[in-house]
Amino acid sequence: MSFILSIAAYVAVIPLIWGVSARFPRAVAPIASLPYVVQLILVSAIALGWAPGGYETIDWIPSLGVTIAVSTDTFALLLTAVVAGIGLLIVVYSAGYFADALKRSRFLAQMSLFSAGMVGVVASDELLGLFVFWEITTVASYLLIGFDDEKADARASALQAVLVTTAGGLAMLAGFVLMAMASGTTRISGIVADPPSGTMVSVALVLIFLGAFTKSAQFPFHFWLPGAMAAPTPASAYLHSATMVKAGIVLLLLLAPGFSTTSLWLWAVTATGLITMALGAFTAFRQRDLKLLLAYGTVSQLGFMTALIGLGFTAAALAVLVAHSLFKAALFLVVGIVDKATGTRQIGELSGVGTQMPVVAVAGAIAAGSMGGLPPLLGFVTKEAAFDTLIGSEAWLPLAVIAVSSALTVAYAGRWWFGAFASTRGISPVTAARPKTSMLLAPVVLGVLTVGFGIDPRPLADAVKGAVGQSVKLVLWPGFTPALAVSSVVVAAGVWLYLERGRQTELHPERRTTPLPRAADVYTASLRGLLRTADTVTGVVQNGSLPVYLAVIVVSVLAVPAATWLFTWNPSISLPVWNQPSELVLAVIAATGAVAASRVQRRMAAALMIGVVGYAVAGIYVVFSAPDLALTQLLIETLTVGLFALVLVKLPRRFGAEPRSLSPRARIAVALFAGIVVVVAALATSTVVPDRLVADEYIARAADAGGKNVVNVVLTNFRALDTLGEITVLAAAGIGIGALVRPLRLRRKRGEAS
Amino acid sequence: MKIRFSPLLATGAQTMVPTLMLFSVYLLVVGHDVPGGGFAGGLIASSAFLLVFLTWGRRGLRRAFPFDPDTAMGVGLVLAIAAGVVGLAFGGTFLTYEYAQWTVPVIGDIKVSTLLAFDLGVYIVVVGLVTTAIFKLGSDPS
Repeated sequence: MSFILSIAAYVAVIPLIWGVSARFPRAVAPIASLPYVVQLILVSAIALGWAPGGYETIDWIPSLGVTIAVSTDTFALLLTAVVAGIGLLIVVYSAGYFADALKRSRFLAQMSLFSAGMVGVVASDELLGLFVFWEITTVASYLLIGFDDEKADARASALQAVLVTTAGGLAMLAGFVLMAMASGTTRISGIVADPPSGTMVSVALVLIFLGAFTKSAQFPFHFWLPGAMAAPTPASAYLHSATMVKAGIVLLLLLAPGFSTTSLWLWAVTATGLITMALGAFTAFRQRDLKLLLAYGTVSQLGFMTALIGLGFTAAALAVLVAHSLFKAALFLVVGIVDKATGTRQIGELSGVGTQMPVVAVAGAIAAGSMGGLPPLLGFVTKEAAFDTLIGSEAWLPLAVIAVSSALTVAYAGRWWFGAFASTRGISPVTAARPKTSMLLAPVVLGVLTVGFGIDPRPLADAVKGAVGQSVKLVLWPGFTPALAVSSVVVAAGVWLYLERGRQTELHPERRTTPLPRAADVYTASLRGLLRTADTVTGVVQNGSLPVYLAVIVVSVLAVPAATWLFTWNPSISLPVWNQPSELVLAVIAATGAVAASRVQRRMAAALMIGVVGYAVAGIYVVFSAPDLALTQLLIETLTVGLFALVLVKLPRRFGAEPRSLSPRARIAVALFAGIVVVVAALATSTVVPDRLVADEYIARAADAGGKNVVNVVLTNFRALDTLGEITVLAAAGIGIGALVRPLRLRRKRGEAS
Repeated sequence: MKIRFSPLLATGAQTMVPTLMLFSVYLLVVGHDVPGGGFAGGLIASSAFLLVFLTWGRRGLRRAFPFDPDTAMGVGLVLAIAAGVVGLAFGGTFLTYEYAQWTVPVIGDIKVSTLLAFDLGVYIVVVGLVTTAIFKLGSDPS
């Protein structure tokens, strides 16, 4: 249970953060960092064999076989270490980043929720549990991206991100269900051990790809990620380096052992990854905004990992993932420091920053060098491993695309670092305020790790091998190999590209390069179309006329059973006209009431006549010895008439000559139709020999539930969840009354004032 | 159209309202064994409050029901859910109830269970809904 508890700890500290934030703002960051520390200790303890690891399950919905299962295998441990480790660094960083204590608490609380979801995603071995954690990250990322909620563009970006990823998440859920049906298990380890095949599995995979690609910002869903740069920098650094966008990659990595040999996987995943990598690298190179450049760079790197997974090279992909998490987090954090210190993050406005904050500049250089793939950094080692694997399996086309994109990566890494830190002629040097020490810690630690793992990648190689069962050649000096040759050409081309083009401030960021519509425009257009359609439909359906609403509801509810009877009509109705004479009397009273209700001219009288019908029906319940029903019916009728009275005093006494929205003929038609269907339904159901099984079972078990009144035992015991649902509906209706009446009141008040 | 204060109604209501309230509590408590229950009890109590409103108006109902109706609905929902969670906490599933029973001389068996809390939740939600409707929709008698 220890691992599941350590996930729960992230949620458990949220009320604590809330509790102390007002009185002890200094205690917030230490409290928020606790779950990360605990998890890091736990992960190391399990990895070193000091604490028991293995499989942990919680039965969540036992009747449906839904459990939450987390496994603490090497894969989960490695990724949890990345998520929690970078999370911890970002908690420390944000303590310095947010000057406002309230904002800091809010950020840390939301981030804690996000971390719970993210660790759940990387450790889950159960599809539905994974989905739930996945959606926790979606909801939390919405809060984090829209953190500056007073800014309209932050809200819009957050909404865009959440719509895109939720749409993908829903498709993924459908895919999960199909996958579970096809394989007979919801355990991921079980599915990949014995992968099912067939059309249903292909459909399931495509749906799951939609989830993974939207989350990991793959083309054509990549546009939400640059938009998400509206988030505060610590959030961007966390969401777009180690977490959120990695969730899709993690899902692909989990499924790859079972399906990476299918041609669907090979083509769909590889092609998507390669297109995304090239597009991202190209777009990143054109950016002026340092943070936006990194965002497109992230898109590109995610494409890189996706392409590697598509080809089945999970070990190389995982190594790249770890390297990317380390350097991209550092890069974002460095941009945050520069932005805070100078007030800008635009290339062309920054000059001479490097000499004023050398530590930050060095940390930035290490991270940018790792991104570009320069030795002796981890980025070099992992990229080298990827090239080596690609050459080894003679995947020439992917190698070419990845090499070109990598050259662009070198170029935009150069553009990023020199744009941020260099002293450029023609730009007046800016003065940078001294950064806080707490903000320096994270980039420095990440830099040390990047160098350390670059020089000695063996621990990472072992972890990767243990995680995906595939070995990958992670070494600093591979000797003179074809991969080294490719690397050298890539770096040389990248440097040339930077020197040739990358030093210009403006690189035509707005120039369209293809006649195809941009993905973001397609999103905007489809969202607008959806809203317009909803508007039109609402205008037709909700036209404000109560009779029309009633007619639509009555007809549509009754049309479905009526239509089925047309096809399955079995005229074997033989009923006595009445069992007891009192039924006839009650029926006559009810009918008289109904006719009178439709004939009287005064509204109040009509309401009373409807009450008469209700009382007569209650009487019939009594005759059939259903006292509970009769009691409820009587009470409801009484209350309804009373409530009618409240409203009717505000309306004219008589039904007036005001224009009717539904003609008398239409009303008669609807009423006749409803009457006939209900009569036929009543006859049909009473001729069916009742299946006593359910009723007998209820009666037999009522004693177990400790009650003698079976009706209420059903309501409060056997079907208590339904009752809970019903009172929830009641409460919602109560809120609805308030919402409907308030605008009327306001309008009247305004009318009185004017 | 205005509703006027009616001494006749007031005289009747003075007896009716307490009787109805008592009856509603009775229905709530005995619901598991004989006709009644939280829903029926809540409806009776609501009728009593409606009668109060029709007789003494908004001010009268405020005194008889000195709670925020919206909050009442929330409290009722939370109570019903909490009754369900208790079952979960005692190792059962959501909405299984815990019982305690004592035999008291003269009175007989006394049964206390979280079921009553659930039913009370239903009762409060119903009362909250109807009082919301009354406060929002009703006009004062003058």
